[in-house]
Amino acid sequence: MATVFYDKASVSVDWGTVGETLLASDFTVNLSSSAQPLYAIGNKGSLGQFPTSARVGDVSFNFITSLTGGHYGQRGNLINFLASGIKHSVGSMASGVTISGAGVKGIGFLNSYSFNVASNSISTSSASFTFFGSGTQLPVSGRLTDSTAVPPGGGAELATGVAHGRYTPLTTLQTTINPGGGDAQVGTVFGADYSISFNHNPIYKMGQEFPVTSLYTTAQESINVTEDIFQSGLAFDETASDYTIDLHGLDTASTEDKMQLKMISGKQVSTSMSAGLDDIVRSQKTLTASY
Amino acid sequence: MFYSASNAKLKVNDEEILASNASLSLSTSLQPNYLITQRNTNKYVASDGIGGKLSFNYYLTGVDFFKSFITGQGERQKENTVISGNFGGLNFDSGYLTSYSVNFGPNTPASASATVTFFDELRGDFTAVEELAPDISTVLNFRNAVVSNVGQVFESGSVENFVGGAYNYTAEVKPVYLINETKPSSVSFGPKNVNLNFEIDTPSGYLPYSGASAKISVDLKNKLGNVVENFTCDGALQQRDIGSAVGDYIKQTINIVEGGTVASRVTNAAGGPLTVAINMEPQP
Repeated sequence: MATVFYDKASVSVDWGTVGETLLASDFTVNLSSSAQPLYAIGNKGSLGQFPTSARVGDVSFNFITSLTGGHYGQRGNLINFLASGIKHSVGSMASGVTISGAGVKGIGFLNSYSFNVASNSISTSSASFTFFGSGTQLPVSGRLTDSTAVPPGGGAELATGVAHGRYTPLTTLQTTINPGGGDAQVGTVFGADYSISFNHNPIYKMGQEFPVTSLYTTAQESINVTEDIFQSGLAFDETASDYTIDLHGLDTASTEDKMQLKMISGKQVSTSMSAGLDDIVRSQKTLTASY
Repeated sequence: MFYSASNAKLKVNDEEILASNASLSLSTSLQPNYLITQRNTNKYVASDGIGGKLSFNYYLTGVDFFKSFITGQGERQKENTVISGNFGGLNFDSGYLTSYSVNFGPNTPASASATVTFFDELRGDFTAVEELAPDISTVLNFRNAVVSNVGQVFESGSVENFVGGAYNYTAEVKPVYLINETKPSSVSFGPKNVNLNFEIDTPSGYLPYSGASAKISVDLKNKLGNVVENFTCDGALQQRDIGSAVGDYIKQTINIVEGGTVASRVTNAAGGPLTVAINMEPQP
């Protein structure tokens, strides 16, 4: 059947023995080749179009930040688990994870992952993966078909297993200004946008289209925090600090209703302040870290 | 009057070459003519013959036409083979292949570069042409290449992956002028050298004092899997380079030199078409 309605197109991620179906709100898969025109002097027009690099694919999707998963003792969804595992990895070899949706799947390498959390709002995340293929394995395989899956937890548990700004205070990201004289000011955090991007280095060789292996190289992480305090004393070389974000759902009684993320040696690199009609003056600061 | 690149055809030995670029240089050998009592002069006299170079890059679509000149010039039985060139109507007829190279890269179209040195004046007038490009079906691609090695170069560890490299050939050609000649009646061939460098995996420091015998062969296949061209260097491993940079992997390159052209002899086992425009009809 070629026509598939969205309710039959779930997005699943599998890595080794663990897997998870995400609460995705959209899902886009691209596959491209690199046919380039070649020209010769003395001739008008192109000689034809010919491949100049390997076929490559990518997938991106937005999803509700679910907390009900649990992988190797770490609470939260599998994407957060993967991002955490890759950025803290001391190894260079990257194996990729299987991303499948609507009958199409591929081995993807996490390119970027982000989420936002704001007061009284459901947290949403997004992720993108690149499909390089491997050896004789195509970047993307399969065809559009139904793929139904049960969301993690299911039923009533689902509603409480979603990160929400109501019980996510983000106090670890508060700015404190201490001008001296015991007149310290502590900011109120209204929301935060988190993102991390990863760089991979696929290694291609002669006589083979798809890479022999793919190496993970570096990652850049940032958190944009919105609050109500402005720190004009941004230092030339800010002090590095660790920042932990705990995302909570609505089930305050549950100890498992939590997803944690830790930025290591983050530094504040910018601060800004803006005012608009009918609103308080809000400020933003950006924390970055690299791995 | 200006012309575009599509107005000038490149022909070598009357065969059109599908070149992506070409350059033609011509120079004289003038020396200032000083007198004993003068430190300035506006007079120049020729001290050597006129000559130039034709350099171009072209796509490989089959058996490489130019590779035959590696062993087809300066060898005892074929030393009279010369190359004639024509670029937009400007032509010469006393050329010799002095350099040739092919870069190997994963999934890239195969292309070669060649330099023909000639010892002659350019004749003819520039004549613009207006023709549509032929619709060729094949440009060989290194996705369909097979790299193999023989020898002691990898003695210290197994090498499984050949990432990319280059095959280079250079020849020394000198004109021999007789009295009253401005165009040499013959040329003398100096040493011919082939070197091949390749990026490989498995970093190693293995490099004996006397080098190591090494032979690397690159078979270039068409879409049907038939070998249509081969680049071989059978010589000695003389250099290793290992390095890396932030965000990159550790790269190791080896360089093999061959003081001759024995391994570069042209074979056309598959009977593929030559890399000239006349053979660009659709083919598998």
